[in-house]
Amino acid sequence: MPDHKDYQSAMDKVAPSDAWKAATLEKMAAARAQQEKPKAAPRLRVAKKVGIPLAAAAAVALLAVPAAVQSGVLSASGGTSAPSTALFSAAAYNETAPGTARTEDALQDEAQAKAAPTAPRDFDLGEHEGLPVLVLGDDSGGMGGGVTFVADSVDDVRGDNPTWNLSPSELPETLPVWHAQSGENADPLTDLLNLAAEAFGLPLVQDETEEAPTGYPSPDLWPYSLFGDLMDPEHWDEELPLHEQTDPSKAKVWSVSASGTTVSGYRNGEGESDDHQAGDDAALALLAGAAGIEQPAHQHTLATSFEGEVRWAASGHFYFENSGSTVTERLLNYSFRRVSGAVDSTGALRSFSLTLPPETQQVGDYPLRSVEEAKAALQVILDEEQASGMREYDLSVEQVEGWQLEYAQSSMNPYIQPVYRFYLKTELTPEDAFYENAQGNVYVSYTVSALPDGYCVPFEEVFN
Amino acid sequence: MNAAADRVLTAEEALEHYGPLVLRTAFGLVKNMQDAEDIAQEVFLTLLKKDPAFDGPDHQQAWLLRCTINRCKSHFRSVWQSRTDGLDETLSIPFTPAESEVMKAVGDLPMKYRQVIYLHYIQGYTTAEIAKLLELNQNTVLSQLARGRAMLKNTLKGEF
Repeated sequence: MPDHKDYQSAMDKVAPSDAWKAATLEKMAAARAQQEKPKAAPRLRVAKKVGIPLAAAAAVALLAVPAAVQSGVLSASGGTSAPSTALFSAAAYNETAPGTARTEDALQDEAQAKAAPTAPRDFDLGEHEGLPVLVLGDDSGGMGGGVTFVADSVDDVRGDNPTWNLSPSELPETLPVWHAQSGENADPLTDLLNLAAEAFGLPLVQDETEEAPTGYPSPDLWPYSLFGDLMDPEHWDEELPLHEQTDPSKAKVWSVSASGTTVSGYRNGEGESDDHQAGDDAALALLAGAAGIEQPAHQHTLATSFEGEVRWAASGHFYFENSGSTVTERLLNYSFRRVSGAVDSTGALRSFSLTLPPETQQVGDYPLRSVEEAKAALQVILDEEQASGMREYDLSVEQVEGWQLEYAQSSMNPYIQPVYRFYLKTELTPEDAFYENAQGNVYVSYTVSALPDGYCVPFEEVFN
Repeated sequence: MNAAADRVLTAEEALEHYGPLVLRTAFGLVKNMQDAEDIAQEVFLTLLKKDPAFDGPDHQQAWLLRCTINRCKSHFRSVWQSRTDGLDETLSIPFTPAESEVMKAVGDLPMKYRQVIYLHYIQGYTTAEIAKLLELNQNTVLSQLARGRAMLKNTLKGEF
């Protein structure tokens, strides 16, 4: 069987040709000849480790979703389930001086000391006192993220989230939090694969779930994803094991995977059309029932490529359920009832993504901190970045153009929980951020927990 | 793994020294030699035009890798659907069947897994170094590496 040694030997064969080097040198000479005049403004210095926060540090993944689907609109459930005894308690955590450990090592740095949180929470959790403290971590470099966008307006990139810039009085007081659909709570992932099989009317062959690899950072959350194939019955006998199938390679129609609360799939096709609307339409036509989407609305956000081309953002276009009598219902429907797809050059569906409400136990309804409290937390992150040299341009909460509540989860986090996402307008030019021929403003987005400090332990404090 | 030079190089010197690194990285991510050459050329032109201030040769090498990866991502978003065949059409030494199979499997991985697989197995970076390079949490890199390997093992029906 091929393995990584074949990969290495193959890559060893990749080398630049003399013709390519000559052509590149020629273009470089031409570029250098035109590069005579000095720059009017000092250029950004590229940070040693980083440069400018890039999309590579992808922010917290929007909640995808899954499961055995009940159609119908998600309603905001109110009840609070019993707290898990395995979780921290808010009271206990507060006794250990929350909020200070994170910056303790760097307090000698004046800038950081200035920004460090100064006191434990000063709010009353009231009836919520005693709920378990959640562990918050994500797939980016800590909470925050610093994803960059180039756009004329923040409206081009923010999407249709129903909580965008709500007034304090419009904000929900609490939002539900669920256990992640992974680890010992991973059963809904199988439901998601089965759901896809049912939607396509094809038998599912689910891959075996392996042991967590050595070094997997959160083995308690393994498995995080399940994989499988949807098979063509003409080439697949459900009664026979794999090794007795005549030609299993011909039988595979769709490769499917379930992760978080989303099931997605793709198949080989005749290229892929760039008509994203057609893809989303095709996916909705097939999967609206499974998704419980009765009042579909379509979202698409724009993304600017490094070459300056403006196009639909890859993950920013989908249909979502656009109903709900309360902000909470609308947010949950927006977050957890989504469908998107892509078609091939013949117009046939080639890939799909379907997100559904969590099927795991709800941990509880959690209080939300205010936008101003979240902004203060964001400022701490920004100051820490600045002090550590991760970012070498000024950024502060004064540059926040807007915010919204989102649900987030990651393979590192045992909970599906709300965060604030802030959009900040920088003073960078697109060129500063490595975009060429691009026009517009450079925005960055950061995520900050939507839960009060005492209810949210920074991931690194728990696992490091 | 390509070694960094002993000093920060001019753009032309960097082309000579880091050309294989940049081209190989681009090829490993976009899976097409013609596109890889275009991307690698853009990277060196960007180096020349921007002339960033580097702290040292390691920094310059890391910048080139980051720049290449970012351009590949941009490229990938636009044309990934259309160019997955003919992986080795332009190579002087063709791939063996096993090499072709594993290259296809790696090429079919989502970009985020492919890049860590490439950086780990081809460039020889540790997960800590990859995390630094990609501005990711090391745990994230570990996770992505594990998942990428799991997918490859599944596809290749063996070890990776």
